[in-house]
Amino acid sequence: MSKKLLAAIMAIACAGALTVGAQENTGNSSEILREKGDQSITIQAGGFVPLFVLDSTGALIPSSNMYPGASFDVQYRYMLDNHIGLGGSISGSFVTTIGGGTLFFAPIGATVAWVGGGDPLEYEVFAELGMNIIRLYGNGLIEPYAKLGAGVSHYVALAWDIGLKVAWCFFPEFHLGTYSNLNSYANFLEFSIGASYHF
Amino acid sequence: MHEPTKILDRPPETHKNAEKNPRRRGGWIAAALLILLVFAGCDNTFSVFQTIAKEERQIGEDLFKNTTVRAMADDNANYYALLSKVVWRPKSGGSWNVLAIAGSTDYFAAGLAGNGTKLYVAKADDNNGLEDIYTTSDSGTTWTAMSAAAGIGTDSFVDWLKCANDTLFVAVHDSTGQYSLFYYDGVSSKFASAGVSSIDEPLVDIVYDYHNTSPQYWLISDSKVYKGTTPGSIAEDATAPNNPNYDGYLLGIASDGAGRIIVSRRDGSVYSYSSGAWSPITVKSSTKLGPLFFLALPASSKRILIGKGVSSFGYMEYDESSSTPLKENGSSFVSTSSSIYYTTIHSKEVQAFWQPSSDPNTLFVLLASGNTGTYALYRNDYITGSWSGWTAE
Repeated sequence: MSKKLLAAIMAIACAGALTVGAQENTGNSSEILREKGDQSITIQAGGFVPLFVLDSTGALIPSSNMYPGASFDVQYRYMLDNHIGLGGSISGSFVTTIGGGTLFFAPIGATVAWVGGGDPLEYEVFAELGMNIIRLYGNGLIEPYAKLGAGVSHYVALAWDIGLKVAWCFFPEFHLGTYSNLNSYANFLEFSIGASYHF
Repeated sequence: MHEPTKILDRPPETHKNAEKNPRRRGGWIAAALLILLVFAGCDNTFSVFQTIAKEERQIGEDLFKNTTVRAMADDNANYYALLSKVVWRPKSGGSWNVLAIAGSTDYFAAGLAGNGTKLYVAKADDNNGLEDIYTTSDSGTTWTAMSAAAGIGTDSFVDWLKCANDTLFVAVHDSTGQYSLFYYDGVSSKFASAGVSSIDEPLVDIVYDYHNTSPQYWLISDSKVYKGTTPGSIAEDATAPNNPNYDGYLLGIASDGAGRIIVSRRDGSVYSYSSGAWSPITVKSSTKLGPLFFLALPASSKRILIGKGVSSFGYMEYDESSSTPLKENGSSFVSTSSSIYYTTIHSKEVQAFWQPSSDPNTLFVLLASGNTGTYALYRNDYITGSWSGWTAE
């Protein structure tokens, strides 16, 4: 059910962005489009690929036993100047496991980004820190997380752009006391396509 | 037009001001409590990624997906499982296939039982009414109709079949909601009442206790315990005190075959009968339980397996000789790891545990369909002193 919902939202987001993309481009420069106080909301959907997992000693767990899944992300950004933006992000993603389970993530975090380029292409690098709600087989954890990524987008109208993003996601889990041997450090690759509305 | 509110023109609220503002202080306390509650809900003993790392791929027969396995039986050559039809496979290995009953695979099976050599299958019509019970002693090559409808009644709907002490029992209800138990009398070659007839309570299960001085049949409905020394003389057990009888509370019964009977209830208690007296054990307070099973191996650490009747289903293991008697979520020996448990039985309702009549080293768990992609039948083998873990059939 969740996969179908995610696919539907992704299709709607992409269709919306492409529809707007059919509108006439403004031809304005990026400096005009992006200045202090600008805000944007971005909706993205894409894939979520398990890379590797380290155990509490830092050793590589031979097989992560996870299959690629999907992700969905909503971001808000406020530009502090022409290049630096601060914001927040709420995401949902899942991967499936070799045993037939489904692992869910719901990260909520703060983002900082450096944005460059101009019309029609704009690019960015960003970092994100926050708390990650993890759920598997009815068991839940809340853990910190970090993302580091980059993206490129194309303005299709004065207020709209569509773009691609790739992010490395570091999802650790920490356990206290005698269970500290359960500490694990999972790494994923997130890639997504999305649309941003600027206001 | 209203002039926009100038938020930045407000005087900044100092820490001192915040202390004076009880509403804001309450907000911070509420947020702190919320965070505390959220973190308290996390299980420090559960590792997401290391659980996944121990998972094993389960590849079973597709016919055990999205179905319920209601009963099992065996004979010298094969295993048999009751779905809407009876399916079978050789004990030596191979795939599961639909069993032809009297030359036909187009039927609905309402019940299945066996005693290790003979197999019994109840066939029902389109309205679920009893057509007949068929038996075979050559793995289905030849079948004999037992004239069950004539002996039990044409207004009969089979709830289950069970062999106890080599005697076939048939639990039925009629169109007025009355429940009865019959057995097959091998001497007169016909079905007869087991002594429990036209009661209001659904019948759950029957076992036979081979106790050396007082062997007995033990039957439960969902409300009462019954017992009898012969198949035709089963009557309500009135042993007091601590009799488990309670309307709508009884869920499972098992025998260790040596004088001990256990009955599970929906209030989290297991009632144990031994040496002529009942005594309750609180397995997990206020938790609906399910089917029970005595697991005799390993002999140094015998367990009671107890199905769960509520959310997250699966089963628990109870070791009465241990200081930490209850194990949940596959944390003990039968599953070998919680990963195996979570990817097989977790979130499914256990219908029964079953062992072949002459093989205590093999254990099956029969499951309801559930809403997961897992299977309805798993097997566990006792090899060199430990259980192998659940594997999809």
